[in-house]
Amino acid sequence: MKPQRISKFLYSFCFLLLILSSVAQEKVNKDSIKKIKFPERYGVRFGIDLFKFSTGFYDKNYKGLELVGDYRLTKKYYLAAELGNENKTVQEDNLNFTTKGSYIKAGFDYNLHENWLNLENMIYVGMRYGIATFSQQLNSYKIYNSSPYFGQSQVIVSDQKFDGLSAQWVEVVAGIKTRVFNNVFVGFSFKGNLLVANAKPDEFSNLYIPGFNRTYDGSFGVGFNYSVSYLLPLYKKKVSAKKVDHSVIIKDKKPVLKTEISPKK
Amino acid sequence: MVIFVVCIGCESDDICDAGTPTTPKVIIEFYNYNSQALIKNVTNLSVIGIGMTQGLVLSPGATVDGDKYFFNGSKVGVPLKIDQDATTYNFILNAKTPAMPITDVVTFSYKRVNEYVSRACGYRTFFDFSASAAAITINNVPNATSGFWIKDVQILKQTIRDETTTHIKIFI
Repeated sequence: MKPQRISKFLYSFCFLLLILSSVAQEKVNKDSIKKIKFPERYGVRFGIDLFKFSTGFYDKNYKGLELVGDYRLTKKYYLAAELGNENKTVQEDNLNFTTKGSYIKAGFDYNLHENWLNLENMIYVGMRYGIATFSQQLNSYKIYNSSPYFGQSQVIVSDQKFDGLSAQWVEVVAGIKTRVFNNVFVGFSFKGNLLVANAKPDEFSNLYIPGFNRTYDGSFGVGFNYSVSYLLPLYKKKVSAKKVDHSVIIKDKKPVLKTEISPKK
Repeated sequence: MVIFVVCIGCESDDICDAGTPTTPKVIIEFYNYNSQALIKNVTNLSVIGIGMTQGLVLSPGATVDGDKYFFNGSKVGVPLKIDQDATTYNFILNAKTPAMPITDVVTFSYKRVNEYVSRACGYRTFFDFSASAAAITINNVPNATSGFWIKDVQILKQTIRDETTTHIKIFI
């Protein structure tokens, strides 16, 4: 069961990467036709995860907030981080528990998408390292009884609390981000998580980890993010004229501008 | 593509696997009182919890439906109550008519410990005889070792954590 799930996961993830990279490839080909390049904006982008934020309004068992941010390092690379807090109650067949805690994730995004004109879209892959500290409270449980001659277990109310729990994991991210207007961006991403450290309580398990989400029998997990963010532009970087035809276009433009201005004088 | 990725999240370990060790039954094995190293089969044993109308299903594979309550063999598993510290059964030998049934009333007394198993299975209960003043009561005599057809009782395991070994020997 477990290896099967992992292989399925890896397969689908590779599939996703394949699609993203092929999309990026198409764009590159189109770009080679259009040679005009605009100065690219560099800055800090920060926002929130709308999915987590809005879930709290209709799901009484969930409250969460995730702040997202990135900083553009180079043309392709972005430093990226997420900071969040979650309070989630989960009802299973035989268990009911509440996980509360905070997390931070940091890493990078790599933009596979070649923008043309002044578009600032991203189709990206990235990685994060996540750390969470949290507590779990066992609210109630049932005893599993495979021979229920005297009847099945009643729900046993508990208020056992497990404090000082922590977990660390590596995330692989794939997503898209697009500018909707001015400096506002929306995007969504999928994450595949791999636990590397998990400090469990002796008498319970870390069934939900803030930032990592639900845990499974193995070390894998998945996540989804739908964010809206605002770009605070810091500076613009002119695209260096590496190609010869670039400079030609720029040189061609200059006389046109002059001729426009001169009649006004 | 989106559906495909989301579906990984749906694959879950939500069902408690039957192979997972959960709350154990107490495993009783019958031995020959006169030759104590030898196993002895019981004939048409019926085990009925006090206050219950139906007995335990001890022969689930029986072809005749009524026969599933009668046990012929040497090793039997009996569930203990998970919400009380004592469980009482009528152990009826030769329960099938027209034989003459003989009944011994056996009470098992124990302490319970609930332990976490998994997300799907929840918790399981372990039983501990050692914490009880009289682990076994026969026909209302605490710590009795014999009854009408039970000639001696020996507790092999003080804690019942699984069903892989025999916990109690009953000599007949």
